[in-house]
Amino acid sequence: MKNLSDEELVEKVRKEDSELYAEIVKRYQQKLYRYLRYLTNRPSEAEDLLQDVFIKTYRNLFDFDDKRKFSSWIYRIAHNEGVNFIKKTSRRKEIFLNNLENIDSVLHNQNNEIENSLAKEEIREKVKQCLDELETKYREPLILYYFEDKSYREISDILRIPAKTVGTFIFRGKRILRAICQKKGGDLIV
Amino acid sequence: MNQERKVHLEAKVMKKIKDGKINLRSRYIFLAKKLGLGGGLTLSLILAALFLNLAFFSMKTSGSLEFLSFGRIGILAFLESFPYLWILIGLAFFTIASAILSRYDLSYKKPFKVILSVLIVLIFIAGIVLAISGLNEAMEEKITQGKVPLLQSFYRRREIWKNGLVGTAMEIKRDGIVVETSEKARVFIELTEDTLLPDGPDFKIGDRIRAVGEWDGEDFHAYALRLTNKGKRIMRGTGGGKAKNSFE
Repeated sequence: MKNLSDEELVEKVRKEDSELYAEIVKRYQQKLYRYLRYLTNRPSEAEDLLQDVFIKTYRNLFDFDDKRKFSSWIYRIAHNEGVNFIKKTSRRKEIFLNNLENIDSVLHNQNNEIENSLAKEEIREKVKQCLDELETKYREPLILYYFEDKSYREISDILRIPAKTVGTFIFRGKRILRAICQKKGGDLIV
Repeated sequence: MNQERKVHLEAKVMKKIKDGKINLRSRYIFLAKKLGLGGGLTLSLILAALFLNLAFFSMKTSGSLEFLSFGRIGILAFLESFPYLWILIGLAFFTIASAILSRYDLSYKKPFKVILSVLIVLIFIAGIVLAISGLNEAMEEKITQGKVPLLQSFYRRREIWKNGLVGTAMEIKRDGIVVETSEKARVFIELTEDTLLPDGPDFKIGDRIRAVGEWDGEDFHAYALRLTNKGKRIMRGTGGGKAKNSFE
């Protein structure tokens, strides 16, 4: 069973044995929990959300188009759950973000080279501390790219935005994140 | 997430599945949803093109654009005879189509604005093709034969406006012309020395005439008047009548 791809496993769950769904839960619970935790910044709620994600995924398994990637599909469900949760709890930091935009514009001319200097592995740890301050639209692509190792194309499928926009959000997100970290006294430049 | 929690979550989800508390939704629900979306998209696009076609047809038959040939004094009549309703309904269907389209993967894999622009162009072309295909004339014919009364209101012709008038000359008088509109209304068009006559003053019975001006009671005081070839084919009666040509 472990040799089966996600898509093959889904086909088996749909047609043969619903208990095989446990394998899907096993494969994704850690990744999705981490994603939801970073997205919502509520570890305790992330677990409940994760359960909802798995239930929704199971219910809608026949909606999954096997020509697509299962991981993108399940991440999309997790994304929807996370975003709905954020909306419900109104945790958006509009005022703070307005300030960030100002910082971003000041930094724009100072260091355009930051894109090249930020290596994926190196910024992970530092990013975690500042991530919660970041606007959702930038936070999500960053989490998916740096923490979930998703490609631009996969992120595009999960967030349903053009791959080019994913690149732009990651680029801008990093700049804003750097400003946040600097403001907090840290330094994101490696 | 620690190992214990992992096992706990997995067990919780699987217990719900085994107990039948959560079930797979039928594939037919999703199939119906897909078909509904596809059908809705196709229908919205077709209706958008059809209403745009009606707008073109309405402009063609009423000769809205001809009012502009009078210059500034024809603008009000043009604005009044413009088929806003059909264009608004067409736009509404286009908006519905865009909303449905945004649910498809295509909407983010390709630039959505470009997709919408291409769609608008295609709808526009389809509208023009339909308008010149003779479909409307055929429909009009059927309506006058009483075959499709439901569509009657879509093909109702209008020849009287607040600032404009189109009709067939029935009687030539010294100070004006009596015309008959498609609604069988007889109107006296009053001509004065100030009335502009771009096609000259020689009118004869049976000529189709377009005038801009204003109403003076039941008479129409013309600022300008000229021959037109629009609206020769006129619906007679409402629904049950026979198609006739006004020059017959």
